[in-house]
Amino acid sequence: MADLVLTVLNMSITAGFAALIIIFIRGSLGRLLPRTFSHALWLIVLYRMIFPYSFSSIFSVLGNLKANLDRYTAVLQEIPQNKALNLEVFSGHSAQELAASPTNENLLEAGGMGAIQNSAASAPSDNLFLVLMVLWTVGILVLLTYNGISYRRLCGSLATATLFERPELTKECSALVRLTRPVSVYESDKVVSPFVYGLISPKVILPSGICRDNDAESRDRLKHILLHEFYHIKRRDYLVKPLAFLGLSIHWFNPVLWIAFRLFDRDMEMSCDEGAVHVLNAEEKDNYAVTLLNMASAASGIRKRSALAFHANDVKERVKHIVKYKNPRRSAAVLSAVLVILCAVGLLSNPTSLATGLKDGKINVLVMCNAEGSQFPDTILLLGYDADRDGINVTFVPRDLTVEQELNGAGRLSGYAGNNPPEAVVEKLSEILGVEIHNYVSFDTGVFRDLVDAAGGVEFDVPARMVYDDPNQNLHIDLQAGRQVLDGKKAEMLVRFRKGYTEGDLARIRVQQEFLEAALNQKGELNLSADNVYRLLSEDMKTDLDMKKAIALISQLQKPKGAGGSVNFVEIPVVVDNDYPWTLHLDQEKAGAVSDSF
Amino acid sequence: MYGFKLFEAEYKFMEIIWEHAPVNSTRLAQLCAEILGWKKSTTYTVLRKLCERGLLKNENAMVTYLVEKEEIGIQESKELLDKSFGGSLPMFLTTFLKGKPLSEQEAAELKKIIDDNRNGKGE
Repeated sequence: MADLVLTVLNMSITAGFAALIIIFIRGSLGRLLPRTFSHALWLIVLYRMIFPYSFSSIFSVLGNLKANLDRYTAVLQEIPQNKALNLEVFSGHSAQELAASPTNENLLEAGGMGAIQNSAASAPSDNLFLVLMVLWTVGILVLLTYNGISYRRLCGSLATATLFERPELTKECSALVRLTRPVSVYESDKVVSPFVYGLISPKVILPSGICRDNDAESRDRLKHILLHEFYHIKRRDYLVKPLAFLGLSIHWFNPVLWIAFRLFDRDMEMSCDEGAVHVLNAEEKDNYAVTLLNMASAASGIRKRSALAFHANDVKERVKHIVKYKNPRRSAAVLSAVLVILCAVGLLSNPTSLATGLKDGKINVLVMCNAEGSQFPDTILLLGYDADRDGINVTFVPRDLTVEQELNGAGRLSGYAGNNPPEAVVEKLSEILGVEIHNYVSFDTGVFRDLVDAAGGVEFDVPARMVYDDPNQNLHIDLQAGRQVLDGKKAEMLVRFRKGYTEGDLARIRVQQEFLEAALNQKGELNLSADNVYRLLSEDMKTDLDMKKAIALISQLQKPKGAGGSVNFVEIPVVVDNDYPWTLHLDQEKAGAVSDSF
Repeated sequence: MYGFKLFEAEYKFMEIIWEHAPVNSTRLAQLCAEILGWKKSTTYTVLRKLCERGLLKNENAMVTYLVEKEEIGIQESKELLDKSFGGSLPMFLTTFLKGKPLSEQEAAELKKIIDDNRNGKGE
């Protein structure tokens, strides 16, 4: 249920944003944009209101907005799950038992189970959530019921509407608009404004008052109205508008969408006006405006007493529009059509980064960490998740690994990563290791410190006394040997220390690996939820990883062993270069093991 | 003064009966479907109502009228609109007009715009 509400909120904000852009375009182009096209623009908003999914393209203008939205949605959706998890851990129940059920599927979707557990916890925020949800549902029901009842009444009143007695006029207009199927036209003395009703077989209802007179003027008026209404039917507005209303009912809390609905309605009428005058000659075009005017004033006697008065009047705008309206020249029509297509692609599609990543329940992420102020990553590791595999693969890639480059010949991985965009590193490593890498995450040691501090430190047995000073790097290491709780600062000293090891970088990797293991193993004791981790990371990291997947991956790492949360360290087989001891080559014979395990 | 006042739709229904009476009720339903576009149930409902008001007689499925055309007037639908709509149509209908009627001043203003446009073209 929480998922549903968050998804709707996400849709509502996306649709609202699209609506604002369209309101802006529509407003700034004014009469240059035929209403037939602005009518089409609104369909984009309608899609966004009703369908949560869309295709991805690099042309999406939603950029950060959609990405952030999806991130927050994912964060919020993860909360119940993590809460439930922590709750169980704290209350001493078997964590495995609980976590065993929401395993792999949950990497993509925060499961319903988490939500149920969460409601049992009934924190104050849950109550607020419940109240909001009830309000939302009530709003929807009120709108639907109210309009449903008024529709039922209308059907009742219109049961005795009688067939329009001038079939020749119906036929003429139907041919002009090129309707493909016959449409019944009825007249009723119970209505003042013509309209279309019925979802399956739409009918036109005319007020019987305007059907009585037989002079040429009345005949023209009927013709104008029929053309307008038939145009609605031809364009399936009798289906589109109820759909838009349904969308509005879901998003009733969003004022922008109310405005959008109102403007959509207006554009719908105005584009039918355009459609009607399109088949009339220039002389008759002005008569059409007169018909509009007369209808709006002739009906006034009856309408004065109706409660519809809270609507602003559109007739003025419509009359002015139709008087000035010229059938758009081909160039204008083409330009408008291009604009509609651009808007459709830009506003309908999601930004691309959302599409990459978890393919077939698989995701491999390159993690790079550099010292603050340095562009060269010291620690490079690969995280691999596969729904078919228990646990997460972690592979530390030595920073001194030899990398072939087109321009500079062989170089070290660290140097390559410092001088190339992360995407290039992803590509290079994919090629070297034979592992398909989907995304990257890059941050500095500052973020690392914050993470360790947020976790309340990590208990670790420091293997030896570590002392090192490098003012150039602003690095001061001073660590006592032995078991202790390392805070962020000390943890940084530990993972950056390398001077004392005989094996240099490789030994450091071993320590880093042990540290990571220790940190992950004490996860049950620390109260650091996936969204907290994510929030810490997101401030300073660079990534192309979709937020939802990032959080899913983090929470996967946090899961207890046996519940899909175990970590398998995969070692990269290397041989030390005989001539240059700081250079490592991939052991080609054994390298297959790495790609096999991912 | 007329003895009876009918709504327009009822009057049209009566017109069929005046022309065809006495008429079998099944045949009447057919006629109403053809001429008025009514469903069978609508025909029977209206028939029952008018029988109750003493305008028609339905005996053994034969319908005849009890009131002549001259005695009947048409009732304006003014009140009915408010009664049956409660002043509101469903929001999802595409209505030709919506909102307040134009004031006289607004109407005159628009009339001028249309006329100006017409004359502009004539010159």
